[in-house]
Amino acid sequence: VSFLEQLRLVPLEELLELTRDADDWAVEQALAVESPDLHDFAALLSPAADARLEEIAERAHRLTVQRFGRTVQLYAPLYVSNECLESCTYCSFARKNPVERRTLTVAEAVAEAGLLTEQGFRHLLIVAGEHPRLVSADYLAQILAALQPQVPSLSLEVQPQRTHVYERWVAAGAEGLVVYQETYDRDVYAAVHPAGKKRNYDWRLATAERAGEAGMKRLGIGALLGLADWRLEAVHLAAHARYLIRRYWKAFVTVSLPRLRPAAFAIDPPHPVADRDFAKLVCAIRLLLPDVGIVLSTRESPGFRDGVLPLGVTQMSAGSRTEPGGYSHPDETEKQFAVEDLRSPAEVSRAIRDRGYDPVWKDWEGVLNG
Amino acid sequence: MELGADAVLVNTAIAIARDPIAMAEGFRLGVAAGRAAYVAGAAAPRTEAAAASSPLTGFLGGDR
Repeated sequence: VSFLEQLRLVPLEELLELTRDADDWAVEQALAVESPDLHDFAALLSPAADARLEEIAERAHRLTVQRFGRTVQLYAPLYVSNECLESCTYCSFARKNPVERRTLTVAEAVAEAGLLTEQGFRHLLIVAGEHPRLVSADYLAQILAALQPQVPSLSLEVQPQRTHVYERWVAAGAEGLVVYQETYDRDVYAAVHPAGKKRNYDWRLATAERAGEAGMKRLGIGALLGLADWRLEAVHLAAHARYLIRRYWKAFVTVSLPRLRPAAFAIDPPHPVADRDFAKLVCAIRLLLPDVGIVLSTRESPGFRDGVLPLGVTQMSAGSRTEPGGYSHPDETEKQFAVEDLRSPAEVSRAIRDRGYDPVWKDWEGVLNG
Repeated sequence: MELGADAVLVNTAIAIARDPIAMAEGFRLGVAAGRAAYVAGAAAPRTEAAAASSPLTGFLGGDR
């Protein structure tokens, strides 16, 4: 069964109601069971859980340390192109926006990666706008093949593809695929994607499954928090991650919780998510899915990132540039969004150590691929 | 081992090492060291700072 089919069996209305008005007893129950289910998860997001937040956080923290140790994996995004044919209303790369367009040559991408490996990074996330001709499957395969000798772990966050393209990318050195649904709310999805291929909600929703079929070792999903009710996003995201973990049990599944940031020519978040709700969400995901990776990007402020870290975060980006060529030539091209944590990778690494955690730059080596 | 794991399952790292027997010995010593340290019990870290009543969620402030 696909996730789309399984989603039809999830009692969404009932769960959403719980996220709004679960009572103390439901929260008590959620904390008493050894393996919380989606109903418990929903109760942990409710206002009734606020009074127990420290206790919930303590449990999420213990579970994370038990499963992952005191470690945080560091990665950096590598933007190779901002060419895009889509019309997402929240993104500065949308086709109608008058930003300078740039696609790196393979040599330029290698130079950018070189700057990142010099800083210590061994996990890179290749990011590009959705332009099938200028950011083609061939182009990305060439980038992967060129970077693979110097970077042990390469993931992609690019336009959704068919399974056979993912198979090619895996053969060229791709280890992971990241694809955000942006919003799981179908109406909002249609409104913020007024034109373009991306309008197809179901095709995007099944992307992680196609990557899983193709043998990607890391599967990343996420919702852009702020577009729709965060409780609705949370319930869908949790159900989606749980499905992927069960179905692609050989893969490492991660969830990202990016909060929408100000960006040039883009809309303000209609449903902003409060810090406390964000923290609650991180904890609830950890309690529901003890083995899931939780990613925190530089969209969040330094103080907030340091604070959320022990609640369940397992991966962080650092020193991010969100424009193509941004590491070699900062501030020449429009960024995809404003970065809030401007600390250097070395400073982030030090802050992680100060909290008693080990920054992990590398956790894989190609020779281990059986 | 620091967290109290009961066993360590290692295959690939030993199998593909240049000298698997030496690597296996390395892991054996590592596990023994971890266990010894765990059983010995580390000292509680000494701190001059006050203990926060909400050590994990204090950073969120009082905006409940």
